[in-house]
Amino acid sequence: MQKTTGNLFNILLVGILLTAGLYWCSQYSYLLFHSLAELFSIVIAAGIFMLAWNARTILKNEYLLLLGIAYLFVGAQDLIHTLAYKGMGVFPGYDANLPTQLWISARYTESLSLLAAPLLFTRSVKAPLLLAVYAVITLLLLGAIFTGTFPDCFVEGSGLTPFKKGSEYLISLILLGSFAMLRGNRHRFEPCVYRLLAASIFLTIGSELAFTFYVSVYGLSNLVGHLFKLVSFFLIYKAIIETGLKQPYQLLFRELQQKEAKLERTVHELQRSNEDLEQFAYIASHDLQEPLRMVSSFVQLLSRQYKGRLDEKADEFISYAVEGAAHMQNLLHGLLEFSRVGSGERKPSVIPLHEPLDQALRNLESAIESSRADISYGELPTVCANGTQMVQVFQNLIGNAIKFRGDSPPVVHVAAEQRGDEWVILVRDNGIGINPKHADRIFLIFNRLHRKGAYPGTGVGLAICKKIVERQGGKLWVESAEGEGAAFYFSIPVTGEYHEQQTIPCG
Amino acid sequence: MSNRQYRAVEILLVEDNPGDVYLIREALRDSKIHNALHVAEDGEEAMAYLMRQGDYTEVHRPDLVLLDLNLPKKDGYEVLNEIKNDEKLKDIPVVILTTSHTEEDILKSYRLHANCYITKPVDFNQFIKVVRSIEDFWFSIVKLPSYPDNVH
Repeated sequence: MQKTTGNLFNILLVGILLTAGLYWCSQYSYLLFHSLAELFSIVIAAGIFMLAWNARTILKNEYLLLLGIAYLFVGAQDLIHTLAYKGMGVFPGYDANLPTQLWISARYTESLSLLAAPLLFTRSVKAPLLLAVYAVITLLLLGAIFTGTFPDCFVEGSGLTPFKKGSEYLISLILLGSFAMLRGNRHRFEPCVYRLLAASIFLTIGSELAFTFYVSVYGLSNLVGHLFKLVSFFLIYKAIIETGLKQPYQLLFRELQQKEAKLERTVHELQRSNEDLEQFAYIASHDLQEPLRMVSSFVQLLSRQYKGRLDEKADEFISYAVEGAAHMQNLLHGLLEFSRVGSGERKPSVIPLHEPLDQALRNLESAIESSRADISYGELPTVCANGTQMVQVFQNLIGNAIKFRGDSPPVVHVAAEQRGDEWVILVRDNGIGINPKHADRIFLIFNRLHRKGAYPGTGVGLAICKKIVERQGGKLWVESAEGEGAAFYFSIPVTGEYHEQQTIPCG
Repeated sequence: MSNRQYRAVEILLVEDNPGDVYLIREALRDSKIHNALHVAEDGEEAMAYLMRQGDYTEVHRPDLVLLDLNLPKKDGYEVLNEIKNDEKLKDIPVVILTTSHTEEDILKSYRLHANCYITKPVDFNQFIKVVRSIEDFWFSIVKLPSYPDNVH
């Protein structure tokens, strides 16, 4: 903001100095003033073209590209106008009519270009074609002027012709129209570019009106007209600089920004709907437990109190109902546990990984004893994780290793290895293994590889492990072959240095 | 202890689910300890019972409260809070007996001075066993203060 103000101040200062200098020149020699003022605007017109032409791929604004090309030819006509000016003596045999005609033709070119430019918002024209069209039009205009077919604009003695005066008004009207067109398309411009263009158009109108007043080509209104014109060119130049150089981001990436914002909104919505879903799963599984417990309890009561008092079929039906209710209870319990991962989650803390492992082994004590499992572990790192959830992961993985054992007692080994910026924890067993083609399925909730009854469980454990590990920024995968045991790996990011045994928040 | 041999132990069950009421009654029916089970179906009724207000002016002070958390009108926490902040009631043991096993509920209950927290087992047999264990623990193992005014 401050920078813009500073720039504006600099521009104003240069403008005032320039105006003062030009005014001083005009006092000394009007011809010098005219030549300098015109040359300044011609230089700017050339600059406009150069900029627009070279920035045409990033301009992405056909309006400004057309202006860039148009101003080259406006500048060219202005150059000839300057050379033809009264007192220059470059074109002998022509009077003040010639520069005035050239002036008018340049202004028509300028104003009609401003009027036509917005049309390019709806269709795209190749830049070289535009260049060629302008070259042809300019040559035709010059031809008409020099061969005398162009209407007279100035007659020595009687001053400006009605054609010239009418043209100035017409040009002013065209410019007003071009402003209206610009205004209608203002959403396509950065606000500051729009203001620059609008100011340029109004200065051009001011310049035109100033010229309708003059009687002598050396008069005051002529001076004001030229100054306005100079500034109006400069403003176009600024607009193209702003658009093609200074603010290529705003224009080039405005769409990108909008897309980005849209993407962000989508991500946000997704996150919310995901949270809603988790919340829903939690509430549903929680609230469904209650009525299910009733169903289950009373069918069990029924089976207990009426067994043998009904017929055999009734007993069978009741036993199916009891089984079904029990299974559904397990599923709901699993769903509840799964959806609870992440809800009301505690902050991770720095923990030595053997702590949750030891806890998991204590929880599995009876299973370990009854299966005569041999469980060992190597050195484990200190990581940043949620302790309770790590217990769940170890308990599920080791519990599975024991559950899916082969004929011999289970042998489970836990080890850790640092790979790059993460720890990879391995839980290896000598169980029945997993066919690699099913390796992905086992991590999906409620997915089981074995028929009901072969192995107990609901197919939630690994889904929970995966969710926990992924929420902590790691991955969970398995390497195994049928009958050859399984090796489950999960990774945890290494995050900085830890002090042993400290339970401080991290991550 | 000697008091209790002459009268039934008074248990106030605060539970809005008639199924659970039935199951608990069922579990306590064959108990060797002579008990009287009273049921309040919501928190307000439970408080009225404990304060001996309205229809409950003649009731006995309970020896044990079995309290569900999810209750109509006044929830279990409010009831627990009021019991534990009442000079006359705070020494009555309150057993939270609920479906919830979330850590927040457990922690909140103990912070409000619940005497113990039990999640209703989903398995029927287990449920019956747990209810009997509650009775066994609180009336055979634990020594509770005696209230002469409660003897009739």
